[in-house]
Amino acid sequence: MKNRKGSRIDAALAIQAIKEGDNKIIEKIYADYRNEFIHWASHRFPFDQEDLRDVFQDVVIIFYDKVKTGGLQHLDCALGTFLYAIGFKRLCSLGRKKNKMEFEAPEELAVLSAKTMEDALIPEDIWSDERLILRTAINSLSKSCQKILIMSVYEELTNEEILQKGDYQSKEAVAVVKSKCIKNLTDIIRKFFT
Amino acid sequence: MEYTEEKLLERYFQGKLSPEESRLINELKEKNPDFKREVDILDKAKIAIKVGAQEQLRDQLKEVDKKLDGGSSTKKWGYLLVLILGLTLIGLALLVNPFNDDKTNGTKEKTEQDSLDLNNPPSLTPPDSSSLSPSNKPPQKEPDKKIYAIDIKAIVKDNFSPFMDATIDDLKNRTREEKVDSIQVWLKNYADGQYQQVIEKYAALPHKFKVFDKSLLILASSYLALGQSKQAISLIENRTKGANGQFDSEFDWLMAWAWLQQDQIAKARPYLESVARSAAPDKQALAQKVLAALNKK
Repeated sequence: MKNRKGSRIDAALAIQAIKEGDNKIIEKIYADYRNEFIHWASHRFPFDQEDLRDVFQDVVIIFYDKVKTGGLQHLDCALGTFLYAIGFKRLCSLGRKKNKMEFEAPEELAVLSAKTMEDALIPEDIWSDERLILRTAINSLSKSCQKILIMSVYEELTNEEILQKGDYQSKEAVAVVKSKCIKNLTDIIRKFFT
Repeated sequence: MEYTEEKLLERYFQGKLSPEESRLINELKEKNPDFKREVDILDKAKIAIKVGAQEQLRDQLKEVDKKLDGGSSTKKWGYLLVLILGLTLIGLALLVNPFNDDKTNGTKEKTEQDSLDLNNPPSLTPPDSSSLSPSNKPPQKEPDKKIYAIDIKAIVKDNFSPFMDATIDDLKNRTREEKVDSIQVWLKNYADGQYQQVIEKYAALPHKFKVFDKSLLILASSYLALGQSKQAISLIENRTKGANGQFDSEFDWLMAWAWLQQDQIAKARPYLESVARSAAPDKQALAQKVLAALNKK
């Protein structure tokens, strides 16, 4: 888990890049740590390579989300260590779900600070049934609707910033499409939940 | 400052509420259940958008996987291997039985018959199916059959079809499969008329989704489309009725269909009468038409 490669991404730089909306950074994080994580986890937890790969995708997405919307400002440990801590939490929940197994933290993670482990917690609802339904709802929208809603709500871009991405002619057009897409989405959700 | 509920909800969704507006939202949520429901829907919409964003990120990471693993060439070899294996199997099958068309047809008919006779698919656990006891089974089947000399099968064929609404109908024309999940695949199977798959995959759906009225309508319709009326009746009778009764007449309609599949006109009639009274106008008219046809002796 030590940083053997000098070119590895610094945690502070990664956090800064995500805050600035550079989601390409997660590709680099993923490429840098994937194989090492799978190797580490495959010697400690009873999951196959496919599961471990999915878990590490979850890990990187969770890290991104923690910075983007969860207010994670800085880490008390190296980026790799933090990713492993999230990975451990994710493996625990997978173990409970698939095999009804509980795991103890490996030695290398047991020494991490309580704050780091708390930061690495995964929201309970992240793999809930409701989430699956909502995924169906958002997938029912057109690609362009999904894109504009993600830019507006998740990435918190203004209409002006969305306009600059080049898909629309005016700020008014952005506002109209956005409003229509929100209505479509809420209509679908209403149908699912009533 | 004056606020309309619509404006408040818009600002809530944008996350731009002032403290005053937040207070107002909380007040309205307490006083007005409809307003609270709208706020809940907006909260869910926000989560759905976040889920969508995370799915996009996952797609990005899968692309990285392909680059790291040299995925495209591996995939090509995989497809080639499957193709070779497939061709080999076809060749072997022809070698083993090159002429006997009768036997082949016989096997096919048997398979189709088998799929229709799947009264209790092992992978399926409809809600509360355990509570179906022999005493719940329809008694006095014979008298019904004898009293009415009418073509029930023709009436059923002309008037009944699986439940459909605009959102499901819309799925028929979708070909986009790259980001679907189990629910989406299930709904698409149904829209495409793949009823056996709908039945088989139901058990694996998330529990919360499984108990939705609409999901039960889809499952019951699939049973009926395959002629499995007993399963449909058990499913509908054992369901927990939705609070708003939005789909009650749809369930009544399916119950009528199910009993008619069993030639049980007397049992179908109350459901048809209920639909004729309380469903949407076009369904009311259809129910009246079926009732009229059934009354011809």
